[in-house]
Amino acid sequence: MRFGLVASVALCAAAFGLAGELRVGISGEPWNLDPALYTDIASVWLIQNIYDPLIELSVMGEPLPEYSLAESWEFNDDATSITLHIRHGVKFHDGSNLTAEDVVYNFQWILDPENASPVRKDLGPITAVEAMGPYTVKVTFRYPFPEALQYWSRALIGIVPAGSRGEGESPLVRQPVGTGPYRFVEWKRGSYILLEPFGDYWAEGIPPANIERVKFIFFGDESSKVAALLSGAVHLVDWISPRDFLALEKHPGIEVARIPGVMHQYVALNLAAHPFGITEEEVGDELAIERALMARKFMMYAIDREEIRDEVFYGLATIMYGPWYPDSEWFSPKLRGRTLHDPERAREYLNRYYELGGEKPLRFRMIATNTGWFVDIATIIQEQLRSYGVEAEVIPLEKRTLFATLKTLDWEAAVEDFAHGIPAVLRWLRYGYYKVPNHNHWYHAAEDLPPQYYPTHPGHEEFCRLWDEASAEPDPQKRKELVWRMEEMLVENVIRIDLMMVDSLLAWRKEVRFAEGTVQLLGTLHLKAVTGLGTG
Amino acid sequence: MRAYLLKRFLFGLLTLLVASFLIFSILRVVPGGPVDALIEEGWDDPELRAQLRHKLGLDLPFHLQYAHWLGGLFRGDLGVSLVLYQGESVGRVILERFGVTAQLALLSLAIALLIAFPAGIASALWKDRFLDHVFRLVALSGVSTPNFFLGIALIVMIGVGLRREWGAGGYVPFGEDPWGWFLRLLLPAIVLGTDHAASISRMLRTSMLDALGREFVLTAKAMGLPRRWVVIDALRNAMIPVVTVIGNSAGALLDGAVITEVIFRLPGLGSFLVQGVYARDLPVVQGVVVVAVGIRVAVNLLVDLLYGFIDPRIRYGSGR
Repeated sequence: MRFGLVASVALCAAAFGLAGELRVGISGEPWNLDPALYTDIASVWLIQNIYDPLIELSVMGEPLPEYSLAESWEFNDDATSITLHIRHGVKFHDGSNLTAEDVVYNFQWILDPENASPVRKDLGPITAVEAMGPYTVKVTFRYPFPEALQYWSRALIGIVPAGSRGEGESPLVRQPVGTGPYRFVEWKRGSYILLEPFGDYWAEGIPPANIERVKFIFFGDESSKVAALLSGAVHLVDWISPRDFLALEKHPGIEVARIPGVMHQYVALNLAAHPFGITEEEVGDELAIERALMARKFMMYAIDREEIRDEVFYGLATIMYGPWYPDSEWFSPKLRGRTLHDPERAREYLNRYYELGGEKPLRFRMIATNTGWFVDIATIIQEQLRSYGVEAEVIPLEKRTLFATLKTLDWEAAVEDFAHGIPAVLRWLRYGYYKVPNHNHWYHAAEDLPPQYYPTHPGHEEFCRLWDEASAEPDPQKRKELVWRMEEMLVENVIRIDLMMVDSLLAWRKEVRFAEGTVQLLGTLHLKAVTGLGTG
Repeated sequence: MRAYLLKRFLFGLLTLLVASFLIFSILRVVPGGPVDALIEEGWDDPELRAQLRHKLGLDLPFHLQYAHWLGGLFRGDLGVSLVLYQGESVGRVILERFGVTAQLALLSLAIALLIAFPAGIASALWKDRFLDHVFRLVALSGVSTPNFFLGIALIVMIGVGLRREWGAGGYVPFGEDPWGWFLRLLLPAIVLGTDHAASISRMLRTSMLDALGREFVLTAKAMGLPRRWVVIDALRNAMIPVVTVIGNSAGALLDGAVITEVIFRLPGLGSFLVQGVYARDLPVVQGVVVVAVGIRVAVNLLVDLLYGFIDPRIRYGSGR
């Protein structure tokens, strides 16, 4: 009799989920839970809960010592070194204490080229890392590197125990050991990863007492994920589409929130091929340079961003006036509010393009990732351009195929997006957004590029001078003004067409409780924000 | 018989070899690869790229890469996962996940046969009557409804509408919770089963009609044999084409499982293949495709052998 009762309870619990079990739905299965080797977004959702970052940043890019393993730090006068003070009383999930030696190990392991860490370059120009005491670490740079904290917020999203990666394949890939609020328990391949609260976590009240375990459930299909949220199979999901947001908003058991997003939608233009760029033979040919510029300016004024925002994102996106967040202090005030859609000007630039010998009608291929909303954006642009007699052929490609194509010259325009992971204005000042050798839609101006890739025809030298000056400028206001000028140059020359920043759209079941003011943390699946599970 | 089996085995081996070469070549022609997945998206680093290519053995000439992989294949080693389950044996993961797909396939096939046989026989016996029209309409709908549509519709109806957690997908091993296991496999099995039920019942109806019009049936009827015996006799004679369709369906269950497993979050071979494609994990895609081809070859052989049991007049041999 008793056995039957216990069995029934167990069966019910298994079928409908355990009490105290927080279930999180994520798109895809993580590939790698080692914080120095991951490259996929699904892994990030797990890593940030199993580990603690050396430096945590706010949404606006300011360091948050209260969430970081480094509780304070100081740069030397010329920012060529930084001294980090490591938090006391932090334990790893294996029971050992976090010390400066562990932090030094993490730096050195990533810096060792043999380990092929994809985040190695994000550590910056480090020449030495040394433990100055049990809780003090000094890092020295080859040149001033005041953006170190911003970079490390990405490169060191998890600190692991010294020596834990061993000699061969890192065991942390599948058996992570961190200092985070939740400890790894089990990975059921293709189904879920199970975590449990870490009782010795250093921050008070985290994790909450009534959460007994956390299950990250993998979804390969977005509709199934939303259905699971509605049915109660999961409490929280990593992201939802604008269309689902509008549907979930009306559902009584679901809470939704809309916060400023980081996904920057843009149209890249190939500056090393006609019609938006010049060929290698045309370097120095003023007529060819102007003709390409006219084609780019036509695009800039012909595209109606508002239509894209309303049709594709149901209004849940913020239109961009230039390459940077429109509400950021780093964004040039001159660019804010400028005219974006002007059919008259678009026609003038198109006519000028034809006068300068451009092929009539203007015709080009526009590649777009075949998932998400990229093809929708491209199709709307195609229709908008059709009214000017311009023929754009939309070619959907699988994401990695698209990236591989971008590295060739065999494309003219591309619809894509990228996440502003590290506060990107700093990354841009140092490297350009991305260092891809043969295309420059990322504002790249490295010396190894052939001249037709220079981003700001005419005036490339001026752009590079501003770049160097801004990187070395210690005065924040002057630095900002230099950045503004660079942004203006990029917009004047239409190096890329920035469309909009899609809002981050969040949805969770009403049972999920979280601390006031932490909805952004919740939105990025930082479970530190969760204070418990209620009854709905 | 032995010679026939040997011939079919060798032919199957050749099919596998050709398939393995095709999939290996195609994956290397498609832009992007595992190295792209292991480098931060859009952030190129030629040094790191070269290092990873070397580490993963992707810097070897094509023929050497193929020879290494093929050598492993003959030893039963499908290589190691480069991206998804880094360093783990692909063969081991396939074995792990094959069980889920096999369970789904068997349940789907059972559902397909449970629907197809009564429907096909009834349609044939009451040709052009109301019941026949209904079954034909249902069969047509079954063939025409895409799996992803029916899958999502069921999730919305059961998972969301009735708020049944099992209706939203997922997998529970039989040993942990037999009822949960059945419920979670039921909806995906219905999706796959109804698809195949439609084609099986259509074929059964046609074959039965053909058999019911033959002389032996007319003779049996004239001799006053009970109707059910006549139907059983006709059914036995109608089975050869039906078995072929069932065999095809059994082989095709893996194809259908690709989408169905993704929608219902089943950790089987189909969803593993999709994960492998997205991650550009070449050994995973190669391994799953080779196993799928192997299953097809084996099922086809089995169907051929079944013909002999159904119709003893069929003999295997040199064709003399």
